[in-house]
Amino acid sequence: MVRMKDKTFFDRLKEYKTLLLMLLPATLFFVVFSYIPMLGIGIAFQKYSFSGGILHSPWVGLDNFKFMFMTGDIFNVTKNTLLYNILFIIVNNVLEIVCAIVLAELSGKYFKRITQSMMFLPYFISWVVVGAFMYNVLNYEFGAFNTLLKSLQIESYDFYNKPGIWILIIVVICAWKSFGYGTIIYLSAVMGIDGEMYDAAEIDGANIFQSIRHITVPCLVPTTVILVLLSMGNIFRGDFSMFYQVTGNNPVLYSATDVIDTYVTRSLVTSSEFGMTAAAGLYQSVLCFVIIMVFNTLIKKYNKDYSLF
Amino acid sequence: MSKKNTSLRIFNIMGYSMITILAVISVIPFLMIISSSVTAERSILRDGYSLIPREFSTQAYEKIFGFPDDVIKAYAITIFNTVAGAVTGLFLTSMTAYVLSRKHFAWRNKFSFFFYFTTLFSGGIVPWYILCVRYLHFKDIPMVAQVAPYLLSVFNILIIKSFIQSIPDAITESAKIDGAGDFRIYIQLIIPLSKPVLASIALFIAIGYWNDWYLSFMFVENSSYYSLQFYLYKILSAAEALARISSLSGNHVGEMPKENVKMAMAVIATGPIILLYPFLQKYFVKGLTIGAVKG
Amino acid sequence: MKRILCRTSSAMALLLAAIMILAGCGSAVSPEGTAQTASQEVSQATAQATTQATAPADPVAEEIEKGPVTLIGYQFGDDTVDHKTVLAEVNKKLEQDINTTLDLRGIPWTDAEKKYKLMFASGEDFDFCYSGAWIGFNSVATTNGYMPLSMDMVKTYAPDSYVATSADRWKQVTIKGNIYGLPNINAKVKNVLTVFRGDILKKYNITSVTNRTEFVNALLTIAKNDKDLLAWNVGNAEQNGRMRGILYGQARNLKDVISGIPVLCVGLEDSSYKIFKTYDDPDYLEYLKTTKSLADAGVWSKSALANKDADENNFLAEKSAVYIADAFSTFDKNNATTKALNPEYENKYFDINPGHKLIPEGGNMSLISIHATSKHPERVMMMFNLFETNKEYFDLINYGIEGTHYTAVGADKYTALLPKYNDFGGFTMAWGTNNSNLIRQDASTPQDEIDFYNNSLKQDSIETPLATFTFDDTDYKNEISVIGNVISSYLLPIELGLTDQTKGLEIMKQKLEAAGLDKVMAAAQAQLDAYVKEYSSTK
Repeated sequence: MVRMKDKTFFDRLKEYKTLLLMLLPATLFFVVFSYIPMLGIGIAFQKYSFSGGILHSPWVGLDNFKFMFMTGDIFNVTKNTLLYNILFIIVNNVLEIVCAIVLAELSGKYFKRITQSMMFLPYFISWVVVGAFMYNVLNYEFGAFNTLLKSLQIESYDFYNKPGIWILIIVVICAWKSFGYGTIIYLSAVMGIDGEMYDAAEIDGANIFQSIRHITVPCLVPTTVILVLLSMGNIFRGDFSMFYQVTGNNPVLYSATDVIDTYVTRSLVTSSEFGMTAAAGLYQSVLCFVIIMVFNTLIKKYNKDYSLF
Repeated sequence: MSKKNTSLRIFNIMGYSMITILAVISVIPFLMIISSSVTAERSILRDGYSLIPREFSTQAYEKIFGFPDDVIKAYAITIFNTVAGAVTGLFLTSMTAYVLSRKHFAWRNKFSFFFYFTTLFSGGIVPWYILCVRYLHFKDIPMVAQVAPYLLSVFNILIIKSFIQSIPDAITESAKIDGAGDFRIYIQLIIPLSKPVLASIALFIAIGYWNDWYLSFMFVENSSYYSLQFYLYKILSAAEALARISSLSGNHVGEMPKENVKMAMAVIATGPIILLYPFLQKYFVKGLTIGAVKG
Repeated sequence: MKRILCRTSSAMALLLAAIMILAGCGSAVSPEGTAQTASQEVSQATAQATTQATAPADPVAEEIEKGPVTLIGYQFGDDTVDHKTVLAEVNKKLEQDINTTLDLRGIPWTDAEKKYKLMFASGEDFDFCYSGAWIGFNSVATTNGYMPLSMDMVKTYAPDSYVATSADRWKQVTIKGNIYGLPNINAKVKNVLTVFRGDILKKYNITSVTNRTEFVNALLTIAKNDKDLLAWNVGNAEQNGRMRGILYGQARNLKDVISGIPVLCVGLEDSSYKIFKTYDDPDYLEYLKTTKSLADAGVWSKSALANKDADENNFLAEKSAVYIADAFSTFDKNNATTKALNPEYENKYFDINPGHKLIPEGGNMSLISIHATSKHPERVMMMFNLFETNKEYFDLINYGIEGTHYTAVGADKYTALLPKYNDFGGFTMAWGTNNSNLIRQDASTPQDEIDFYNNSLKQDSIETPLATFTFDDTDYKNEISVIGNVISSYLLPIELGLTDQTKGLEIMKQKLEAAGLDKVMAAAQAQLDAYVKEYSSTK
């Protein structure tokens, strides 16, 4: 049996010669830039010293993880991270799919080109600038929004003291910044759909809504699944600069806007330790790993082609 | 027939208005950046940002182009990184994706997992930095250091893979029967058929390089090799960094960058990359039929 | 079955690969490690050699004879416009004097702290760097990032610096018995001045602001009557610290014991050095009441917590009436800027806690350390001996090239040649080599400011072990990080009066307790007591 297996392995090696050769650059790349440095995960369990390096620093067990669990805030923060990401995934993907479908169907060539390029612009604006603009619009005394309210004789709204509203603000801002980018993938998927299918539908007398419903949407399922799965692999990670800059790092809002990344960064301001940074990263990685393994397996059961691996 | 026309009209009205609104919302902050970049500093500080400059001034641009060398060099570096990165990256990404999409390749899921795993677990920046600096000597080869680490992204590989999977097997099968090898099928069939997705991934890779400041921050010590975005990043985050450091160290540190200079730098750093998208749009042709390529 | 076999085999292959990589990594790292210990041995050996063989030729001359050396060093900040020009000038002299070339590189301001630690982690090849307590001098030293120096080496290769540096200064850069750098030798205190815009003082007929009550009243008056501007735009943590300083800490002559944890303080004049929690102090609660009244009156913005702008910038933007300056140079610069906008703005400064005690900056705040793996520690010392004590070098690295960047006025003053001075502005490494005897004052500084400063330096500054006591947090990393987090989450809103103070304080106390504040406090007290004992025994 063993011999038989060996044979098949070498047979396959021969059969896959070209394919394996084509995979070689990527394999090397990930070994060098990801797998070798991955050995550094050990730092999470070490008290790192410059002379000892990764191999000779003393081991301290789970000591580096302690700081996350001492006050119990981590659970709220982890929950926030998860909920924000779920909201982002739903809102962003729905918006992007709708935009992609609509853009694909509209006929004005220049209109499409110009609006699409415009929709892409927010992606290039740095979060620092977004944060500065937000403060300029929302601050209590001189913000544009409150100045408008004042001129309408309405009482000013104290945004920076109301945590709840920021969930909405952050979700909207995140969608605004990334939808132009995300739309492109869906648009390219729509463009990849075989045109003959639409021709056939038209001959059958389907109107535009019907052909979207019965051709475009089903054809977008694989792309959607893969994008959602990919986002799920990061579901316990938050974009530090977004949360930090958009809220202006305002402590009053933390109950609603604090995510793992902001929480950890704040903890490590006074005592920055490589081991603790690594520990926090590992905590996120393990959670993400569990989520993605579960969902990938589920998807695999449903349709093998849709799974990531 | 008229029913169909009505539905098309409804769709068009809804579609055009939705896209117009979204486009306007997207463009307004950018217009504010442009406007602020040509506003007098005093006016921005006192009255905030606005859509139309309250007090026109070209001072910011004069200041930046007072020493044009830095900006011009940074442009050259960024363009080099973007072009080199996008061309090499797209080739490697699509080739990898193609292999992973082959159904007769029994190890495809193992390799997919092997690649995907790197997005979940990472050793963090310390070992990565040590590897790049001490063993790969990236500080001595800034041109390579700013391109190599971002050549492949698992995200892009998997997107292209899922697209290639949707191409009917019949085409490649028939090519195989004609005696084409895997590499030839990739070059001659898959690449032309995947134009829309390749165009979008090329755009993503290019933008990734264009927007990158991190590799400059990590590996470049000679300011002639700084990328454009690193200049922008430094200017934008200087205020916070300088305030913190001067208060911690008890020493007075450099000048705070001016508001209008920040905005002007943001305009300059965004630059021509926004024209790349309209250029690539010609590859987004609807209903690229399989038959057309086959014939 | 076949499937399982296949899986295990691939897992085995992966494992094997990992082991191979590990092994490769190990063999690649270990020579580095040995090289390092070797170099340390060598330097110790040379130190011994120099002490043993004092009779023969001058070791400095011997070192120069060894041939040209290029020293790589790091300072903070981006290179200024004339960085290269001045560096070339320095190198011209260095080559002549000690056969050395300096390759001085900058760590950009942005994320500088992060980059600084990475440089040590990666074991890059460099010889020296600027260091200071604020950038983690202690933690880099205790994790072996810097080379320990022997006094003999210093005596031999940096004789002038050795003479000029007091025993106290050396002690300030000694950690666990080892000297980890050449300290600056500049006696320096930080004045904290409250600055008002002149026209506003006039408008509301405020004539004197000489104590805290008058200051608070002035702010309230402005906030009540002026709706076009904010009285004082505080916001971020740094300004909050200054606010706490002038309204609470200075009045009580207090000092934080652990940087970043302002709830643990000790009285400067308390001879028993007893650490206490500020929120147990009735004066602190009084201070909170004051800030609450200021917040309610609208002295600062209701959105202050999200405000990233320094109070100074807001003042310069004509949007607020008051800011706090931490030095006369800041005051003079801002005064000139605002006066250019409107001559009526003529700024006025006040000290609202006259006579409060000031702590002179310690030698560990700014110094030059030698990298643990440097092969030329002798040259580094020879070079900094010149930078710190030779007037020509000192002027060059601090003020630039005479005639281009500045004009010397006598021996201790200078006039900046604008805007050329801004093009250079001094190497930031010079922070670590500052020398009171060689510093030049800006010739345009008014006499009253100089007198004021000298007065604070002479009369108000006190000598205390607290100046240089640094809490060793090695065993308390977890506690410190959680306490730091709790403080940045709760203290700012409470002190700015933008939340329910009693409730906020209650929650903060609870969280601090959970984070082990008491444990840290006890540890800090024990360390401080030991430090004080050692400090006074060597007096």
